[in-house]
Amino acid sequence: MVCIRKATIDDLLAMQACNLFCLPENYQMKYYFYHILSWPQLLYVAEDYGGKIVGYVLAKMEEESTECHGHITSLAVLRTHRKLGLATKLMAAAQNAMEQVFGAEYVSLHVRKSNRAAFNLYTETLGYKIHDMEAKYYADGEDAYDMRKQLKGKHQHQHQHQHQHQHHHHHHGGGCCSGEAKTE
Amino acid sequence: MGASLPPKEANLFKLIVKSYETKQYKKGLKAADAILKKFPDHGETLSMKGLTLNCMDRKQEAYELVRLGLKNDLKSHVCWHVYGLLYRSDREYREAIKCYRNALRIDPDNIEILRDLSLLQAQMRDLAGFVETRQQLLTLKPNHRMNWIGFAVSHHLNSKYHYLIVILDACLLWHIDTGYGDVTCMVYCYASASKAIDILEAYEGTLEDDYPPDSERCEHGEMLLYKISLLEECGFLDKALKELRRKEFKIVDKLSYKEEEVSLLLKLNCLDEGEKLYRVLLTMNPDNYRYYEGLQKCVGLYSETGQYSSDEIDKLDALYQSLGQQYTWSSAVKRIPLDFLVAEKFRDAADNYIRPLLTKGVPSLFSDLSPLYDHSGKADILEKLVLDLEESLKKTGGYPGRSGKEPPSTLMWTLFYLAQHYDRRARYDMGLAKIDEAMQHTPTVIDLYSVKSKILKHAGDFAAAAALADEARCMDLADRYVNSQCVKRMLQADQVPLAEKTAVLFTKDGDQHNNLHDMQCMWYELASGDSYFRQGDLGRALKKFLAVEKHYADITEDQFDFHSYCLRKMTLRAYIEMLRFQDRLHAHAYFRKAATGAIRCYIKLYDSPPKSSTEEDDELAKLPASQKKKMRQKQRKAEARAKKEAEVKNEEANVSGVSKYGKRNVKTVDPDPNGEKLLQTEDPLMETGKYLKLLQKHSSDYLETHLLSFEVNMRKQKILLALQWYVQLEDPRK
Repeated sequence: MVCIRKATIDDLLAMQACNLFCLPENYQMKYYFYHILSWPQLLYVAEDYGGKIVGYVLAKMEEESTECHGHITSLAVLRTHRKLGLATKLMAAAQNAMEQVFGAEYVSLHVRKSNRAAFNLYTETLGYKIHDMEAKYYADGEDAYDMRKQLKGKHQHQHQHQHQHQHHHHHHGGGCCSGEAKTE
Repeated sequence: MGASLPPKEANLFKLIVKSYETKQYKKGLKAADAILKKFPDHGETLSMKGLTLNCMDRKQEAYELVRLGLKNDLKSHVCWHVYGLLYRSDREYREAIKCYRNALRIDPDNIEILRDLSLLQAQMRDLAGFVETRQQLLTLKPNHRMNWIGFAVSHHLNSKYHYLIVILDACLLWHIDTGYGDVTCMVYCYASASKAIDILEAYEGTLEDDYPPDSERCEHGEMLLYKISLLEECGFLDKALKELRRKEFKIVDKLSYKEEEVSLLLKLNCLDEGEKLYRVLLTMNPDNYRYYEGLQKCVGLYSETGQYSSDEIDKLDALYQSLGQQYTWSSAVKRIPLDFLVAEKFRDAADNYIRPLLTKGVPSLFSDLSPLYDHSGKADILEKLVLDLEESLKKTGGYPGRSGKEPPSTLMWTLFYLAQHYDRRARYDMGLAKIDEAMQHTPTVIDLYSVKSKILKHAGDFAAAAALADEARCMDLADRYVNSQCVKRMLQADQVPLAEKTAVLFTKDGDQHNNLHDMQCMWYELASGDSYFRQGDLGRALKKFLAVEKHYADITEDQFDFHSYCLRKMTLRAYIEMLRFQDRLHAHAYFRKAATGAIRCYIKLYDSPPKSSTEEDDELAKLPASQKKKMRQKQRKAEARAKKEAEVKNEEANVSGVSKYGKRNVKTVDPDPNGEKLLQTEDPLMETGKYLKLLQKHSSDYLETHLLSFEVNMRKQKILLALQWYVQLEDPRK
């Protein structure tokens, strides 16, 4: 019914339109560029049979913190396309990529306290737990739950050739936490 | 920098530069003033003060100071560089490039200026210049990896493929601390690229068990994928595949690896291997339609037009039956056969497909099936099929041929489907009858109201459609989707103020009335522009259409920061795609609508200029010359006063904006909120030029483009040009 695939640059305008149509938290196009040009593996779309974007997930890696982890910036599915399990499929795809490509230890996200439907999806279907509560997180003054999900097997993505170069003693945190030290 | 100053002032000058870089503008301003007290004519200080003021939104002073600084010290590369930065901040790229070039004439090896120049050249797609600057940077600093990558990318954009693969090979060896100098020198010296490849590969061969540091694994993998995609783009498919497989263990992004591999296999006609790999990909994601398409290609059962012989249909049927057993949870595997099956087999498959979805109450069932309405005969089959289901549900409470009972909601969703079905076939009365029946059955389902609203709109009753959408909205005030739907219908019914009031429920941003424009909500701006146009309010209509055009200019501008960011981040594949996307940005539908809307406004404005201004002129004409002059002066003074007031207001808003939200959220007071100034243009037809050109370049396949080109040229009395567009109108594809 609906195709789940990695987003391309050409999807960004449609993703923004989808976001503006159904969510109160919106972003300028540059923020979408920033995501796809930093972590192209972490954006997925749901495309219906006529080629229309009916849902998306926009995610990123938190590179500043010590523990390498992913963060869901935004997840949306049009009201007309509920009951197809799209949100679950999109989230699963993004989470897999975080773990597999970047070696993320956990994923975090924010959800409105009043958004029961989303809260249930995160806790019951996707296995997120409340980590903290952030007072007045949203522009309109509403509180947010800071939720997290631990990703299994954080070392799975390590290459098989590690034994060949014992001279590298870095703590292995995947490529994402490498810092921004390299400048021209 | 600041060389001509005594030590104390020279230190102060360094402080200005540092303050500018760290955005501590007040501090920088203080330091500048301290220098200027002693040396009021010091050019570089004047320039830097201007640049600092520019960041504090004091544009006019900024330009005055920077120009004065330059006048006082024409031989200073700092002054020229600053002048360029000022232009750059106002998006005057051509002027900025000129300034940078002047700066480089004085200080040819200035890395900072060269880098700034290269960014502008990338932005302006001055590709030859970009290559040249990148080469200069590389020559100056060959020990920086980023300079190599920048050089490679510049060649890629300039389509010098062969050369840049060589460069990339050098980049890939980067993490090896010893020896890179030798290699890079060799690459650099060998004008013959193929020879350089040999050398590099021989060199690489001795380093087979090398491995990049852990912290760079992602980047290294991305660079390898970039190189392989390049080989593919150049048509070196064999080499690309070999290289990919050789480097498999170094590529962290396994999904991209497989997708690249399968794409190469397909192009190399290695269909058996391709089939296997597609099946692997399908186990990873059985909802990706492109994998099914690829699989069909590999087994020789794919047609671009979707037309198949009956033999092929049987084979496809068997293929999907087996896939269905394998990927039981995939919905794609059940839906795709409806495309190629026909007649009785189609009916049976559709029946099996529809029943569980009606039972489950999937609201998008109709939109999922609607593409089938373009296949001949399938709409009739679906109609008969669903009507049979309805009849059986009403009579027995269950599906035909089944003893079990369905939940009552199944009938409602069946009626819901039928309503949309009749709507699609333009039988609005039947559609409305079905949806009313569904609403009587269950009056609490929001989707029913949305669909009824849609049918009413199609039937032409916009006011009733808006009212229904508002009912739906009120049933769930926390859902922005129903709110947006309602706003859309209100705008279609030309209820603009009400629509805005409704939209604002979700778009208040702090003390800002609404953030629809800031957030680039283009559908809204287009829909209200259309409504204003229908109502003859050309000023407001133009305002909205031009707002959308502005978003596209901003999106073009957005790429600027990424020219350097992506080189550091090594997301080169995505970066190149982004540049190509930007090059076709104006082909996007929203831009097309905005441009056609604006052109229509200008045409209308030309055909019937606004009355008020001509009336005023008439009155003015009656007056004697001396009084006329006085009147004009008075008008000018009033205009100047209004402008000043708006500026003061802006300044206030900026200051409060900065303290509260930081620079990004600076709000400016619009001096022309209703577009009245836009209507005062002297030559409306000339205004169309810019938009018409973009349409002709990016949307030449659209009828609208040809119509508008014809209309404008007729009015410009360029009959031949008009005729040319008219002739093409008959077949726009020519």
